Amino acid sequence: MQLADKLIVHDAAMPLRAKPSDASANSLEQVIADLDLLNHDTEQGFLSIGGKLAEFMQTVSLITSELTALANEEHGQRASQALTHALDRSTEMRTSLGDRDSGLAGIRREVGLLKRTLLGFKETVSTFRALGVLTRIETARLGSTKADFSDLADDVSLLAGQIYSRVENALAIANSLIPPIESAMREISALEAGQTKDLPTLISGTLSSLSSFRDVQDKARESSDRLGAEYGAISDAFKKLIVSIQFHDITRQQVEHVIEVLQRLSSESGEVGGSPSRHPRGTSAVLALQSAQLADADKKFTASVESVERNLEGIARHVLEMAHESRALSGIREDGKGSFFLPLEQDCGAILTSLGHTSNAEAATRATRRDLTETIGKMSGPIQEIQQIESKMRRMALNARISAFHLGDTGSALDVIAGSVQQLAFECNERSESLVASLGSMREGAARSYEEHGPDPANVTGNGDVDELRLAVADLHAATERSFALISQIAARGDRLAGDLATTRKNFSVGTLFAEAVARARGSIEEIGEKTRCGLPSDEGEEPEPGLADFMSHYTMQAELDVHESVTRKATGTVPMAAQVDCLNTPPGEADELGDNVEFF
Amino acid sequence: MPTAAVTMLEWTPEFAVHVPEIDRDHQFQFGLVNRLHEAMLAGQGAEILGTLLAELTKFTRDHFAREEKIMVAMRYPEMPAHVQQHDQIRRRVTEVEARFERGETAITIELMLFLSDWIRNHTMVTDSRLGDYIQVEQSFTAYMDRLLLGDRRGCRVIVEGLLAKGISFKDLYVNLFQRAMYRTGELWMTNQISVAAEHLATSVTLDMMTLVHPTLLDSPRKGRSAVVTCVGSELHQMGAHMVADTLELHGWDSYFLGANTPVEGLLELLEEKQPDVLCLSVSLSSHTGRFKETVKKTRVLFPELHILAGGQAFLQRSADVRTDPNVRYLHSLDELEAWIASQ
Repeated sequence: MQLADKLIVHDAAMPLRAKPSDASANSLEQVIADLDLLNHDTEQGFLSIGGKLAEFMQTVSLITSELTALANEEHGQRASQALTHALDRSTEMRTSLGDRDSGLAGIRREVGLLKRTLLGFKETVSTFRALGVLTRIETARLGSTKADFSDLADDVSLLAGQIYSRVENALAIANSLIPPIESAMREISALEAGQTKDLPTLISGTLSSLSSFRDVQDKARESSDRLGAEYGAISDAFKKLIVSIQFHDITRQQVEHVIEVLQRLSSESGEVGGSPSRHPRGTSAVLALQSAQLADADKKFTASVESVERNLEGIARHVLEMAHESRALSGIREDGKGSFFLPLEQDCGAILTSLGHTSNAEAATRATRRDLTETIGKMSGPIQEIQQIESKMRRMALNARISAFHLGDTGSALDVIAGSVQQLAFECNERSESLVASLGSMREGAARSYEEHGPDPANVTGNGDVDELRLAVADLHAATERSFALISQIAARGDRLAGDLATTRKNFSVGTLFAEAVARARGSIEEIGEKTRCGLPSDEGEEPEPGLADFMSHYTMQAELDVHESVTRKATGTVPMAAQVDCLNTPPGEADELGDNVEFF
Repeated sequence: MPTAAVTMLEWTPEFAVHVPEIDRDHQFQFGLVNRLHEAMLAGQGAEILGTLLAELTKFTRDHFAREEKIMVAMRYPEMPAHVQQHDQIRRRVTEVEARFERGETAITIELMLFLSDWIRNHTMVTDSRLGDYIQVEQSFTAYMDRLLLGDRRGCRVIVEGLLAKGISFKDLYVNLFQRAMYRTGELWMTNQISVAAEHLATSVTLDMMTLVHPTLLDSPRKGRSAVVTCVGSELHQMGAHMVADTLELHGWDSYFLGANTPVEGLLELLEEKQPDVLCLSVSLSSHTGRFKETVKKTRVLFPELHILAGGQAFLQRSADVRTDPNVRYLHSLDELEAWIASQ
């Protein structure tokens, strides 16, 4: 229930002279009750603000420390270094990837040559087979000469078959070499595109965002410094607020004192039959003093309330500025769908994705290298076997020629055939030597591509820098989200504090209530005083004597208490009126020197 | 970190839609945002992404299904637009989850902005409208019963209860008062209630509308004014009253002349008030002649004045009464609000 609802509404229409004594006593009771209630409610109003103060101060302090933390955060230092390093290495990689690319092209050329050589082998084998048939015919003819050439034809056929088989095998292996090489070349091209073109762009973008973030940090630092200064202002405002609330304590005591005096009057009137008019002149003076006391309390209270409102307004203004600055730092768009931090996060995400692709490409390229080396190894086997067969062919052809020589003219045809076999064996040898050379070139080419020409193709920055970069970017993102969350938190604190302050200000309505209640109480007191004066002889019912009027304008509670005591003593016949007036004439300067807020007890 | 995390989003009863299961869902949703914020504040957003997205996906599926089931059951008129928003959110959640499945973890800021936007623009606005509708809908039958009995106190208890729950002005006007009056009209036309009962219901409803006025009159003023009236001998003033109140809600000063306003008096008032717009209400089609006459006479003296027209008469006979191309015909308070926003 509001104070205004609880205050008793006096019946203005009540006839003043109907039952003056009872009416005055009742009015006095009502005024006492009203003032008591007023003190309680205003106390609650100030207490509620006081209770909020510690909370407000703590929030402001938290916001300041969070802004400082934001400004001081080592945001992305590690990432910045790693990104710069990666950017440099990417440029280097552009060259080395080109070398690797040309190395693989060389291997592919070698494979082509190898295939042509093997195809040439197949033609040789056909000739060799034809020579086998001729050998069989000629050895059959020579059989009549008792010369033993029975195995020669079989051997030629066997060797021809063996070579054919090995060549087929080598051709199949050679064919299988091409796809992985081309795949590896594609991977290399992708890497080149991704790592020497896209990644540097991403890295540059991120570095630029980081640079922008440093601007944000600078602004946060400025905000923090400014807030530091404002914090001082806010603290001062809070201190003034506390003083204002303490100041209210004085008005509360003033009102309490009025209540006490009125209670005494009421109680005395009860003792003398319900009327406060037993000593009408003194009573009238006391009531006038209470009214003056209330007027003074009202003045002080109004000043106090104005001060509280002014300080609350100052604090609210600072806090709103702070919340606004925090929101500006986060760069959150009006529609709330974007923020300064979002592009930075997207850059981090894109780099991490690119690095993920790099890892995949790395794995694929490693597999290709492994396959290539393995395939080259597999091809060596058949070629060595071909070389062994060639050796057998040469030996066989040599033996046939020697036998033909011994036969003289009879063996001349065989000698021609054996010479042809020997010639073919030499050709085969040349081809197999060429194959061996090609394999050697391919092996060297592969080694050159992956090992000799710079770092691993999938490892842009070399020596595990990809992992390092990935960790650095992950750290950068963690720092980014931390800063975003921190700024959001600062803004949320600011908004809530501003809201709380607004509510507190809105609910702080004791000023009006106090003024209204005091006006009502003074009206009643003065009315009772008027009634009391009406009961006096005509010459005593005039305005307060000059001393009293002077006292009312230089009021202190001690003086008022003295007056009250003198009035009560007079009631028992102990203090003359002159003393009362002397008391009222207490030099006001004394109180003035100590200030309005000094109370005497 | 120098300080403990603050609860970023605090669910308070002002966000309640007063459907317990939906309110529980929304509290869970606020909790998700707060958990993500706390993790981000520690720079550990990526660590909780998997769990959070799994919960978010399940929440989106279950929560939207629950809301849509309620909307179907309540025959919610704004369901298509509401479900469209659900679909957009579903797609976004699916997309974010797919990106996470592909290995993207640097998406926490984006996710936070998305969740905050969801709460700010859907939960607090669109769901809140649904909540208001549900509240009004649940009170409608009881209100209608009280209204037909002429029970002002009973109606007042219901309306004050809705106001205490924060039901919007528009929901009260459109979904309770307007609907109740349409229903009353139907009952009268089908001889289920007497004309006296219909007038009583109108009288009670006008009283109920005054309960909303304190909030209307608190709106910040915009320095624009409108004269709102029924034409000629038109006695059905409820619609015009709602128009006047809607204008007040949006900061316009509305001069509501009520029913049965002679055109000469209207013209005098227009001369005196010089409003930005004249709003004419016609309920019965038999008064469309008076409407035409009022527009014609007004045009002679105030050729530039905006004129808005509305009421049941235009719904029943649209083509032949819309003779003045410079008069704008509005069919609902939504259209009126859109017009106000365009000014």
